[in-house]
Amino acid sequence: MKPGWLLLGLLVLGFTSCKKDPEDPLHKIPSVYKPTPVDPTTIFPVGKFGMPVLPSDNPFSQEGIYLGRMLFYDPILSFDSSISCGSCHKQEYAFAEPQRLSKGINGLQVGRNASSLFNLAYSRKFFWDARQNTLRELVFEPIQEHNEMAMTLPLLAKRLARTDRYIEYFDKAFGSKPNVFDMSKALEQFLLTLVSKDSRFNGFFPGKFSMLSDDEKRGALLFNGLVNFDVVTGLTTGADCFHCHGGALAQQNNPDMGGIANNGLDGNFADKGYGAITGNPADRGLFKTPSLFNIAVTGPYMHDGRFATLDEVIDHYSDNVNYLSPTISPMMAAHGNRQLKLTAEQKASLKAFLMTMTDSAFLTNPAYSNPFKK
Amino acid sequence: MKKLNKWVGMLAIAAMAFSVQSCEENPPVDPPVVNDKPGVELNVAALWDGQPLTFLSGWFEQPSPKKEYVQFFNFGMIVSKLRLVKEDDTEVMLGDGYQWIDFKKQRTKFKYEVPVGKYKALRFTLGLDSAINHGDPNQWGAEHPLNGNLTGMHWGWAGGYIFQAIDGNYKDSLTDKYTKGMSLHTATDVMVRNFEVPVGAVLGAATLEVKDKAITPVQVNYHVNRFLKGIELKKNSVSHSEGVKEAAFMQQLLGNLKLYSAFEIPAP
Repeated sequence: MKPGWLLLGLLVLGFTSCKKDPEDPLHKIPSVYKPTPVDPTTIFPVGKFGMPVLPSDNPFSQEGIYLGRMLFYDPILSFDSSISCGSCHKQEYAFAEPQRLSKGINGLQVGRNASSLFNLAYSRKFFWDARQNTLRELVFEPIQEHNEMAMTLPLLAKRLARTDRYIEYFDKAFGSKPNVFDMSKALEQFLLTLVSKDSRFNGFFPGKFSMLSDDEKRGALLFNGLVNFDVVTGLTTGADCFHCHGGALAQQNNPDMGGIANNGLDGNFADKGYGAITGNPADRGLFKTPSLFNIAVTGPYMHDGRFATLDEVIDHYSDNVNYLSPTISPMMAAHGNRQLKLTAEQKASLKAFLMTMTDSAFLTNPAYSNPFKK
Repeated sequence: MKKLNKWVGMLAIAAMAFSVQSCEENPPVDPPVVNDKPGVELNVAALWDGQPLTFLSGWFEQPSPKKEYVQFFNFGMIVSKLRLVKEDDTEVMLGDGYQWIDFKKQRTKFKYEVPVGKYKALRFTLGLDSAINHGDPNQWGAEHPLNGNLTGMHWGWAGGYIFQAIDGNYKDSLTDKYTKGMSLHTATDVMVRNFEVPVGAVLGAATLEVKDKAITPVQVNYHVNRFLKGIELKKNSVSHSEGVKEAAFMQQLLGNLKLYSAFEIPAP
């Protein structure tokens, strides 16, 4: 072979080798797909809660939401195909579960109580320790955790790719073959649609007292009142719940305004919570403050499920706050480090008001149910 | 002939290198920043004795007869009618005039287009007009400074915004193990305050010049120690601006802002 031909051949190679392999799925030209757009204003009650900030690169589609719903309830996402996301996040319990600590595959125990799931579009931190900022990232954690679903992503990708319904729906929703990246986007779409907005509290807020019974009214005033001890009776007229559980969503969305807080459970932290994520001692014992919507059905309560009943929770805030806890929320310590000492009647009123936050329509909405159940 | 083959061989190696290298896509290069319009960038800084305020680290000595120590957890503000003042006293509204400043989140830099010219002061209102304060908080876009879900500065229940929220802890001494809470929330219509912050020490002493096709930096300092000057936290560390005692305490704190010139724009 003459050297000139060799040189020419190499130059041709230089110009042609940059063409992408048409069979390479990462560079696949999307098939013809026509996802049906879903207007976010049909999902979110803008008049009640305002418009949330939504991921701009993952617009809602009917196909995407349905795909996410299937994935949420599909046990093939776990290593031994025994549990799904829906196994620990049950709709009738506002997507929490009545277990102190959840169990993963093979009965392995999870370290924390399963969080309820709703109005996630209005949250900016996820998990009890606020370690995730997006739902898209969040979903990969329980899927891969050894004591939860214990799955590996390559194996999951293979499983999805050989399942007919996913071949069909990944194409419909994203114009792609099944893959874990679009899986997380589909789950994100479904999770964002979990909107709880139809409780009696939602009708009452921000002050239609005529909708409440006398007992509930007293509870509402305690809930939303500042701590103020009467000099004669020694009783407080307010329990100041609203600083951390206030507003139309009964939660504080700003992580620095009570959205992540130490509520005086412990003096020493077996679970460092947010502090374990940031490494900052000042963050030890801080956990995400949940919305109180559907609180009647989301027990056991707190990150470790230590309180079995709502009465125990109220007792904690009334009588047992550990004001010596080194990172206690300034908003709790602002009460002069004095226990509220609510009376039995006050506790009952507070509980009655909390019960108005149960959204039965959400708990039974067929759009959120297991699509595999006939 | 041997020499020619050597050259061809070298060319072949070069061509191979080219074929390998040319497959790598060029890394994205940010286009050079071109400001085609004049503007300013406000940089609002919270300071304590001239040093940047830190959050949940260190204790700041409180400027009061009792040597108390404070630590900050959270610090946000809602301002309105944010505007620059020209030499002839005409005003230029910055954006729609509303801004949410959050020192902990470092949401403290804001760019605005403004006309070319010389400016002598910044004016703003800490808080909101009553109609906006008690209006529907859901009317605002998802990322608007008045969207309460974004800022956490609207609690709905009282039908209004928190204009300034400062939360933290204090101690009687550095060896005190007993941390107490400090929660200073400015709210309600009667707590709205207007401010004029001159460029330099006094109005007219200096100006900021905004030139064409350039962004002029505007440093705005908030001396938080001046806000708390003379306050004995052991006596008063909580105010939600309501009730006789807490309202009076907040009036005193807001008075400090003007009395001790807590806001400052250093001369350029």
